Amino acid sequence: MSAVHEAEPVGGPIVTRGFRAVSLVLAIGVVFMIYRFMAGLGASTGLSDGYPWGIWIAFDVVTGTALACGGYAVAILVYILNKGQYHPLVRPAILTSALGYSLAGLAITIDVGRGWLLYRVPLYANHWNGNLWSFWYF
Amino acid sequence: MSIDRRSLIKCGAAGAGVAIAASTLPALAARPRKEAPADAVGMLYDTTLCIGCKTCVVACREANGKPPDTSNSPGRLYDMPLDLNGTTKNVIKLYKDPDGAERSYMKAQCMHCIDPACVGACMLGALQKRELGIVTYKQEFCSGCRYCQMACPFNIPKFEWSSRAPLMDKCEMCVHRVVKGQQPGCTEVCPRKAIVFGKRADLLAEAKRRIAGSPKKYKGYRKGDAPRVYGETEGGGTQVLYVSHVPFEKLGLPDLGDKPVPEVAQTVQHGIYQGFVAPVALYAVLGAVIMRNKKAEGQKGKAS
Repeated sequence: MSAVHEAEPVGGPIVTRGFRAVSLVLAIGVVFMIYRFMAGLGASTGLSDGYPWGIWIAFDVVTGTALACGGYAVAILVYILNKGQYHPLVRPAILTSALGYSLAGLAITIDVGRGWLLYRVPLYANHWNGNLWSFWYF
Repeated sequence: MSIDRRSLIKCGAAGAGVAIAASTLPALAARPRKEAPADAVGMLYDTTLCIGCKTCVVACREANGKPPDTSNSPGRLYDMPLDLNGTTKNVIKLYKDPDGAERSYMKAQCMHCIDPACVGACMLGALQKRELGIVTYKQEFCSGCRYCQMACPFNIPKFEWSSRAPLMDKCEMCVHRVVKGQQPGCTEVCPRKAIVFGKRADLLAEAKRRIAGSPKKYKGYRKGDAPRVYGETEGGGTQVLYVSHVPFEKLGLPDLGDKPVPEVAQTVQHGIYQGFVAPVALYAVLGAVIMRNKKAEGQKGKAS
């Protein structure tokens, strides 16, 4: 009895109705992303000094990472408490998490004013910082 | 395959160990209260002296090379910032009591906290408390995450919302002038000496002398409170001090208590991640359990 099931292709078409719908959302997002780099964060997000983070961060970072975290939670359950018996659950769970965290990480580079400086975070960070630890967990 | 009792107990014991280690660490890392440096400079603002001429606003712009904010002026003729913003480090506001004659001007700029929340929040260390206790901002380290805006109890740091590569903006008590022996722009030009610059200890003594001289004139946080110097102990103390003839809460100066604003958050944060022990221990335990599971799995596979 092996608890690890082999990876195999799922098959089926890639461009489905769902794929098209999500691509449309993505395309709208790209338009606003470009607008943000032309007009600034205030004009593109409606954020202000009164609401410096707003629903923008609440959705893409807080909600996004929390959803993505579910996959890792499943992986922990399977590997640690379940001793790998439900291993077929692990691959889709990890894939979801990896995509979720990567996209949230990408979104942050647009959220912050100067995303291209974020490479410095692991190098010169202020080590006792909460924001930094949220970074580590990506 | 089932979890036997022995392994369950082992697992539980290891988990409990980590949990205990994580929960006791904050207590070990008691955070010492920070004091103002001996040479700390500061400013003292007295609302009874301010006439709202806004000369300090203009002087601040000149001293820091900031353009006027004409966005609220009809025809964009005049410098009319409504509040601190991405180009305004210092502003004079007016408080008017809706049902009374009580009114006061209010100067807003960085309070230069003795234990600043923004410095603790700043991810890349762009905000630092440096010489003379001045909270400075190094823009080349800023990624524009705006955590300082979330952290500051006085709503001081402001963001350049319409810039493609935005930075923060905040008063640095004209540190570039002060290190040369000059005064900050605002204190240098104030015609009524409503805002004065000096050593924090001297200014605190002067503020107390003014209150002692006319205790009826000055107020506390709320109506009826004993007069006090705002910033002496508020939020762990600030280097900019206020005395006022209207209650501080009306001027937007919150009653922070005398605990440093970042105290609780930093005690927890520093405790949990003390020496990075707890996270490493947690991951080590999880890894060990997985390895053990895998090993048991391999032996079982051979046996069957």
